[in-house]
Amino acid sequence: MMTLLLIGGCQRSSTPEPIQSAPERVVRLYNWADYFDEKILEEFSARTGIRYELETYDTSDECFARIKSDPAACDVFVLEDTVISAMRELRLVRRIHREKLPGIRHLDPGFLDLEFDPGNLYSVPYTWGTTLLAYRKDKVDPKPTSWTALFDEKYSGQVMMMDDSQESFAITLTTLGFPMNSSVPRELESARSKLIEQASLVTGYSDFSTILDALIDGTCWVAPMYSGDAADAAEAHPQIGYVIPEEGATMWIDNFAIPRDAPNVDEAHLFINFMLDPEISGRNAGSIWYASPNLSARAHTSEELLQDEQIYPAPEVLAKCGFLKKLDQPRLQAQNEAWAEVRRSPSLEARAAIRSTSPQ
Amino acid sequence: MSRSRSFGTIHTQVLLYFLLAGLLPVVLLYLLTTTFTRNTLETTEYRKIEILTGEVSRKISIIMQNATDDLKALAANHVLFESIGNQDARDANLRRVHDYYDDFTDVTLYETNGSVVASTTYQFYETVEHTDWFDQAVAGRVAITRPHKMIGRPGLFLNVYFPVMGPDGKTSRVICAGIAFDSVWNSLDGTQLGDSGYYVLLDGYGNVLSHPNKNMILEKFTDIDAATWRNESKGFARDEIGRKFMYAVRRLSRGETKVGEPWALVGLLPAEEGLWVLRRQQSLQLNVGLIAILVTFLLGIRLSKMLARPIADAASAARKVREGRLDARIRESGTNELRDLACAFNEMVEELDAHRNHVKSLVDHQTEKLRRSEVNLRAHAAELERSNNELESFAYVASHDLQEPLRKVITFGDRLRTNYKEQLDDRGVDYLSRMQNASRRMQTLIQDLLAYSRISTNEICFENVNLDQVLQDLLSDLEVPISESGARIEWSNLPIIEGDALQMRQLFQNLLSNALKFKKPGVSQVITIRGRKEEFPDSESFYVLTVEDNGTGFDPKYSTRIFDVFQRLNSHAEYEGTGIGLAICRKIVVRHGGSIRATSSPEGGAKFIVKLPAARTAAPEEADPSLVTAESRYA
Repeated sequence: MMTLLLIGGCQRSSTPEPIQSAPERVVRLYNWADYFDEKILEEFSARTGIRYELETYDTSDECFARIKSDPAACDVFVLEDTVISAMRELRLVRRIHREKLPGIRHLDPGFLDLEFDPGNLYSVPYTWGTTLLAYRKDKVDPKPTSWTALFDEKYSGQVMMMDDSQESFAITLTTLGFPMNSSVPRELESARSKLIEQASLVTGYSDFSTILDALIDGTCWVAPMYSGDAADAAEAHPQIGYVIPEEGATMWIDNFAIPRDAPNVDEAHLFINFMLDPEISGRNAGSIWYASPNLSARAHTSEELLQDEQIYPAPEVLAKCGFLKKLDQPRLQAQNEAWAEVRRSPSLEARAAIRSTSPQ
Repeated sequence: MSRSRSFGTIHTQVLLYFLLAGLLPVVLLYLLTTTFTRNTLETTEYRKIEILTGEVSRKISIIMQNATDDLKALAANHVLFESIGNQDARDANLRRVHDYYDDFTDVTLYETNGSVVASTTYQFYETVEHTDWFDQAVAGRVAITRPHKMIGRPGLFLNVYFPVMGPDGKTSRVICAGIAFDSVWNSLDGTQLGDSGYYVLLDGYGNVLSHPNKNMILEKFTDIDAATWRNESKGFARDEIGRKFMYAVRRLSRGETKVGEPWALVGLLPAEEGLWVLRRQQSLQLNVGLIAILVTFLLGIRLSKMLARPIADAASAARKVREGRLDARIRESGTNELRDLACAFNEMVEELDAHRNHVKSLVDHQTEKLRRSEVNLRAHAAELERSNNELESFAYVASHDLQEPLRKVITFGDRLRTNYKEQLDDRGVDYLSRMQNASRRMQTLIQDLLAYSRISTNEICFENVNLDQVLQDLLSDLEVPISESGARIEWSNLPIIEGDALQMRQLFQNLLSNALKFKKPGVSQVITIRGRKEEFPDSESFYVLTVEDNGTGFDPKYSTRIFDVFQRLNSHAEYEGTGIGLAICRKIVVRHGGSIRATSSPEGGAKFIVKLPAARTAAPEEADPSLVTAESRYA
């Protein structure tokens, strides 16, 4: 509270704008696109009198870069475990006041106190999912069961990859039969070569929504996709299918976190605790079609979502999946080097051409 | 009493005043110098912090300027515009160029879309295309990041983004150079803030940019209470565990740092250390103060002794004088006033001594006179006793020896009367008769006198005497005279006393005879004898015997004379008697240690009251006053 006021005071002193007479309470949210049920946000404002502002992003790099540029840019943001872990090390996130979040008790202990944030000092799990393989049912036959589809020359010019070096590296390592978190130089080198080699097949390294659009309009046949978004698209467009490949997939937890210099820390906690409410959490999960780590929310979650095997995978499928580990320096370097090369591959120009001719 | 010390004594009061006199300046001095020194110290520390802040901002400016200049030079290098070769070749080129610029930890060349053209490290975590500074650089402005950490590398870094202009005048690429932020700080290491003081550099959000404890980097600054240092640019503050610090804050404007929000440099010095000089000065002052107080105290003791000792001496001398030792004197020393006091006292005592000696000589003189009178008196008394004894012996001898010739006179008178009656005429018979009567009276007189003197000469034989029995025996002997006079005798409560039975009988006989003798004509005579015991708690007890009659009585003015020898209040014609009876009575009573007195009222009747001690006491062998009287009379 003290810190909040002080930061407020500091801001006032650094900006010449007049002080508002009636301090309106506000919470500034920063989240993936389509990752909140906005009705629920409105409900939050109605219940607490705290106005919300929502800004969205399409890649975790975007979110990370934004918060690194300005650790006071928002009050609550949502980001996956590995990035949270990096942000912890880079001191970009603020410690959570556990006592202000009684709703944490509803969370499945299996999602708490994990390696990326021991003790959940900086983050609170929001949803979880996998990065799986999405495809066009009408173009890819038979139904793909392996990540190798992304590297299949058959689909040259119809493959898209996420603009996410870590995810892409993990997929490549998995495809090659290596552990997804490998730091072995030889394996990293293999993955690098494989990725550079793949670049000729890839039409674009994009954010998830661009890929989704491409899947829907048929310019893309196979691509990695976040489980919930794939399911969402598949429901609207029956020709889209998705699968957790047999090699396994990366699992991730998206978390609420508070940036280091967030001005509205109290409101941020109130919001996070609101989102931990079982009823709210259940409804929200049903709306965004993502699995919630909120055990108590199951009672308020639609049966259909709970039955979706790609959202709540069977234990034997889950056993093949794993979390990405925090990037260590040699792996980070290898990824960055590879990614620099991949992004400068000739196919980039091709992608740029597609973009410039696209009506959007 | 003499040595009791209270606030009342001069000693204590003088000491108290001296203590106060010693303490007051010390305390005042202490407070004043403390305030002064503290202010000086604080100002000094704040000045140090200000100088250092200036140094920091200057350093940052210089580094930024140098970096910008270097980047400008770097950007002009044609190598950067070549896209030829593979990634490794491009990286190698960049590394070669980078080698010329020591200040940069790493250099990365970006396309304007954010993809990496070449890098010396590849150790960055993020893609840059969404960052503010990259956007600024693409827009053609130099941008400097706020200090940030890097994955897997210690310390803080700044990045400078510099636009590389293409031939068309637009930004064609962006160079990003890393600068170790610590270098700014390390250059200030020489500037120490005391032994354990330190500086903390904070960004606009209160995040630690520089701290002796590297773990604090980019954490919120909590070393001292934020409310304090944000409101007051200098003063004292406490940390979370209560330690006190002197602090001073100097803010660096954005113009000074060119990086983000206004920073703040906080200098912190543990109050203990900051005020070390003050403490040392305080302890020095305390020591000096203590010595001063001690000296004052000792002076006080000296002075109070100087004042109090003569007074105590005077008091002691006065006590001696009171006890009578007039040789006591006070030493005439010290200050004039004290000498005056001593002189006055001594003079007073001398005068007192003279007076006393005078009085003493007077008393001695009188005592001597008294002593001589006493000696005379004793001689007289001895002489008196001797003559008294002589007189008694004489009386005894005389009365005894006188009887013999008297008896002969009487005997021969009887024979004369019997044998020569016829030869005598009536006149002769009458003469003879008168002669014989006179002789017999004389005999009685002599016998009484003898009895009287015997009481003095005979030893008293003390025994238990039942007075009741004594009286009854006596009454049976006196039966005839009593019945003749028709008197009624009543008695009661007669005790048993220790005394001489014969003398007691004599006492009662004389008193009864006396009572019977003075019968009032025409009145039936009643004689009452009573006894009672008078007891006194603190002195001896007495038996009181009263013999009361209703006779003629006597004139009360003779109430003492009647006990004298030969004192008769009446003529022989009226009442016969020798005038010795009551004298004998008194003598007996006196010899028994008692007393006798007589009262009478004008209406008649006499009452004799005898007081005898209940317990036997040896009768004082004193001179018989009656005899003395007699003697003096004879003399």
